[in-house]
This record gives sequence, structure tokens and C-alpha cells, in this order.
Amino acid sequence: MATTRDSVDYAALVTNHTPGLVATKRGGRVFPIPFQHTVISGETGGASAGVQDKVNLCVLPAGAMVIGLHISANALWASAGVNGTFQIGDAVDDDRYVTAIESYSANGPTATDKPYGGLAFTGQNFIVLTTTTIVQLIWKTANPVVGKIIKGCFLVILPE
Amino acid sequence: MTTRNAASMGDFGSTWTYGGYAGQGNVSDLLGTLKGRVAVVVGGAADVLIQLASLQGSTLFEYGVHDIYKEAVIFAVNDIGMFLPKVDHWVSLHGKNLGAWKTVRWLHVRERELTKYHTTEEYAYTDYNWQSLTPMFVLSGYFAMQIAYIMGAEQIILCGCPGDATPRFFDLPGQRREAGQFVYNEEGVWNQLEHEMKRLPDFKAKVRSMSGMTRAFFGGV
Repeated sequence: MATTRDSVDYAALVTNHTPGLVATKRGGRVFPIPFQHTVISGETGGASAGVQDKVNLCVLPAGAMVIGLHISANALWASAGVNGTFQIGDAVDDDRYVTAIESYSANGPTATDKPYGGLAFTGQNFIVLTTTTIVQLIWKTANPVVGKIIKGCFLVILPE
Repeated sequence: MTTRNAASMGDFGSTWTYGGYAGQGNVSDLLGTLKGRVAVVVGGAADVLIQLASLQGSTLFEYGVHDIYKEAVIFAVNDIGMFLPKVDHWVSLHGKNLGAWKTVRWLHVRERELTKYHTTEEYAYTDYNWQSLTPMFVLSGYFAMQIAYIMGAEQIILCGCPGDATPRFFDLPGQRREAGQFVYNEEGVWNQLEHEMKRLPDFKAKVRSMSGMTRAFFGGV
């Protein structure tokens, strides 16, 4: 017979009714942190770190748990000839939230605006431990087109 | 590698704020220093010098303009700065290019100048670093307009900054750039301009333009 098991969080919250669970364990208040960037003339996405410009997107508060991310972007490389990628992370892990991805490619959309959903494995349920964290986007492989827009929203559970 | 701020960063980490903008870099001493002055932002449109000449005799000042180079604060944008007789502030989002352009200018002018060089990061040949300016306009001409505003200019005249597909002074006469060769019609460029001017109506009230879409948007001189 199939076995049903409880996740650690399910057991703590539902089965054992553990007292004193922190907000990130019992499903506290969800707080949206939106971001938006329009590509500035001169922004560079190259093959190596020295020529991969970064964009500070938003700030995650200390203690918050990252539970969601939605992105919608123009075709960022649609008229640049070469498809680049971007990734999103922070100072400790530079692709913690989004591993390198194209927003315009042969294996995905055509030259149209495209939404994305979901966090990378390392970013899902990640808890910002000690200090506020600046979320950074890194352009890679090719320069994005000036005037193209990338926007989105992190969803976090705030600490107590 | 340059790090920029998305508009959504607000004033986080900034070392100065002025007129609805925030940022870092060594520009604090410049904030509000052009109060009472007229700034002319000179871009690269093909007829830019004709536009500049037509400002002579205009009523930008109460007594009219006799010598635009003496009476206005000149902000050069990108390539055109190599050739103007006088430049007070030379602005570009392409900091690496400024060094080469500056060398060409020196070959032309051949005299000591007080031109100040502005970009978004620090270089040996530039004076002011508008690091993490938030939000930052996406084109150099609008960036220069933004700096003139943050420096407190009373009126800002866009000259040779039509914001459309008008040929530049180094394009063939009559040549109109096709989509893909210019970015002015990207949704984000115009949206940003409209959004910022709606957010800061006092900024928009200070700006006039000599030509193109920016003249239709801001009004003419």
C-alpha cells in the first residue's frame, strides 16, 4: 500500500501543532517586492565577468523567506543579432534566483514579450539570513537592446 | 563591468538626493549649482549647428541671446562634443568612448579648457561619476538633460536632440535611419520619458526642444 508521509513543515504545523513557529514556517504575511528596469545605452553583456554589467533590481529584507518570483520581459535581444542571457542572484550566489536564461530564443518564444515564473531551486524558500540583500541581474553573452524592459515581482514572507 | 540601479531600487544606498533623484558618486558638490542659469543640451542631429545658431537672437534671456556660448551653460552629448567651440559639461553614457573623444577635441581646440566630463563610472579622464543614479535615463541626451536638471538649471533647451529617426550629423544627408538602427522608438525609451515627466512636472516645465518628437512633447523655444 502506498505510504503517505508528512513533510517536516506539515508535521510541525498540522500534526504536532508546534508552538512558537516562526512566520516563515507557519505561512506568515506575504509581501510583494516589485522591480523594473529599462535597458540603458551602454549596458554590456559579454563572455566573461569583466564585461558583464549588473543591475541592482531590488532589496530583500533580512530574515525574509523568498517564496515566489514572476518576471515578464521584452524580447531583450530581439534586434541585437545575437541572443544573450541573463541571470539573477545576489552577492553570495550570483544565480540563486534565476539561472542563465534567454528571454528570446529558438527554444522558447518568438520575438515577443515573454513571462517567466518560478524560482531556481537554490532560491525557492531561501531565507535571507543576516543582512538586507540586493538582488542583482547580470547580462551575459550579448548586449541587451537599449529601451527594452524587464519587470517582475518577488514574493517573500516577512519575519516576525 | 558596471553596476547600475533599476528604478525599483529607489534611494537605497544613495549618498545624495535631489529633485526626485538619488545616487552615489562624486557629484554632491554639483547639486543645484546652476540655479538661475540656462542649459543648452547639444545632441548629434544633422542640423544641430543650425539649431544652435538660431538660438542667437532668441529671447531665452530677458535681453536676448547675443552669444549662446557665453550666456548659456553648454552640455555636449556624445560625438558632437568633439567639434563645438566651447563645452562646459560633456556627458555620455559611453564612458569608455569619452577618452577618445576628449583626445580628438584637444586636437581641435588646442587650448586649455574648463570642460567637465560626466559619465556613470570613474575613469582617469573624467571628472564626475554619476554612479547608481536612480532612475537613470536610458539615452545620453536625456541623461544630459537629467544632469542639467539635477544641477538646478532654470531652463533646459534640447538642441539637436529630436528623440526620433532624424539623421545625425555624421549620417548621409537625407538618410533616415531604419528601425533596428536606432532605439528612439523602443517602447521603454518613450515610456520612461513620459513617466518621468509625469512624476516630476517641474522638470518637464523647465525643458524645451528645438526639433523633432521632443519639441512636440516639451514644446519649442
